Amino acid sequence: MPYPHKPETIIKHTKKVAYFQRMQSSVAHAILLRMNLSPKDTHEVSRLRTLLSIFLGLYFVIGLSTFFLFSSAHDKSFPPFFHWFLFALVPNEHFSTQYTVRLVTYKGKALTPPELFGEANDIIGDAQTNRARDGIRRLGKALVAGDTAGADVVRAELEAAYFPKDLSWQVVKITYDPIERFKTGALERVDILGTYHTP
Amino acid sequence: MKYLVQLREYIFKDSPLRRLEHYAADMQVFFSARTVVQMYYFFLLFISVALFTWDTSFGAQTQIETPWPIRWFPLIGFATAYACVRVFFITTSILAAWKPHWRLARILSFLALFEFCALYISILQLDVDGYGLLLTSFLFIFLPYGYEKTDAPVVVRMKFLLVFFAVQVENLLTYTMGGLGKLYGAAAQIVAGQSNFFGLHSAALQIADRQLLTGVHTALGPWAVEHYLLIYPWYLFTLYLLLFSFFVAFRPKLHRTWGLLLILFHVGNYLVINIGFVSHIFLWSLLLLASPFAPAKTSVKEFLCSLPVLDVMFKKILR
Repeated sequence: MPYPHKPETIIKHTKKVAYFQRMQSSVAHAILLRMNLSPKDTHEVSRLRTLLSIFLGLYFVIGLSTFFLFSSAHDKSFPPFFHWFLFALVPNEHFSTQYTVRLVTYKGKALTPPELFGEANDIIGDAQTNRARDGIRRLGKALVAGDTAGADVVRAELEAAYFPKDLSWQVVKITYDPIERFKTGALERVDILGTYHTP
Repeated sequence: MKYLVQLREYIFKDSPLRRLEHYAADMQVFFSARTVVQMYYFFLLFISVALFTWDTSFGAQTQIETPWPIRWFPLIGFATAYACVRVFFITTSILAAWKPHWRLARILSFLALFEFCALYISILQLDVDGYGLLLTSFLFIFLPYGYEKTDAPVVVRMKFLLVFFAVQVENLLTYTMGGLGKLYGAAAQIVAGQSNFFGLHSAALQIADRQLLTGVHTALGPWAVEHYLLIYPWYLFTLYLLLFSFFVAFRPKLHRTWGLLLILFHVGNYLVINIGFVSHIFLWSLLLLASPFAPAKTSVKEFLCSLPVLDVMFKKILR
């Protein structure tokens, strides 16, 4: 009895069957599902994919541009866009600078040596907050820029939020080697930008 | 053109996007992604209560620092506006945790989180920890209708997984942007002849300066400043970790381990410089450790041969 198919056709067919058998059931299922997807469904998925891709691209471009478009370090964000350039710069080994406040007298008694704001936990209730640091930084910048009105606003804000009564204090710009200061507390230079008294 | 095609193939060859039908067909993948979304809204409910404080003594600062989403605060007074945002955030978080499949609940939850984040970056903490949540909540708005049904049609499952994948990509992209920032900073400082990211002392400088600024001596900070050479390899590795995070989204074999590495990165930062990024730790637990696209098992060889850029080397070594 003659065989109905040529040997090559049988081999090809057997290979196909074996191939599908080897496939995981979920993959076979997936192929079936794909075949059942209507053109409308495919279009919907494709449209959503395009929309999400556009958003990701825009976020990347607008986010990075906030770093270059906004000059002030604190304003380099346009919610919800942000550049994510966190700790991008390494502090300078010998010439790191920081605006801070130095407390000179408290309740009529001289503080010897004068205490820096962030270390004066016994006098300032909330000496380690980001908000206080940011306020002092803005005050220092305003004083350096000669913006007296701006400095007065920030000073009033800091006094109301953090400083106790009867305190003499100075806004200073300190220069230091971070590792040396961390180990020994040594400062290389202290520039006084303004002296105030909170009555 | 040929190289662009090759590059595209290199980046996207294992992308979940190419096998979306496959994933949509696997109900386990779909259910696990759906659980992650539910967990996300439970977490929002938690932080809506945990991260707020009733202290409004810092109201004076809003006179100066007003990001655009909270510029309406002076209209009704800071204390009232603050209370409104807090109640709105808690209420919408309860709603979204209860019915995350309601798009309106997700939209309201996003708006409340948006207000909260604007407060958080400007008044409460001055840090951007909430931005990852904000992006996640925004993209989850696009989850399709009807995904909560057990017999959700395949097109709904595909759209759901597509949005979920976009959330993974978006959050990983922010880390790549952070890595680009470090490269940019290093280049600028090298040109200026200053201390820079690649210097041997750079980790010690960052850690010491951060502790000086915050006035907090951290658990491992003083040790890390002394033993900066020991942490230097990890410090350099974090640049790789950040820079190539985006590409990891397209390599599901890396999802779980990369998630673990990012969590270790944040935990390390917390122990050394007191920056926790707690919401990101939770996000990576959900999005990568529990990634529905990750295979059940990945061998060390598969992991190494999937690492962005380094895979070329490992494929030759481990051939």
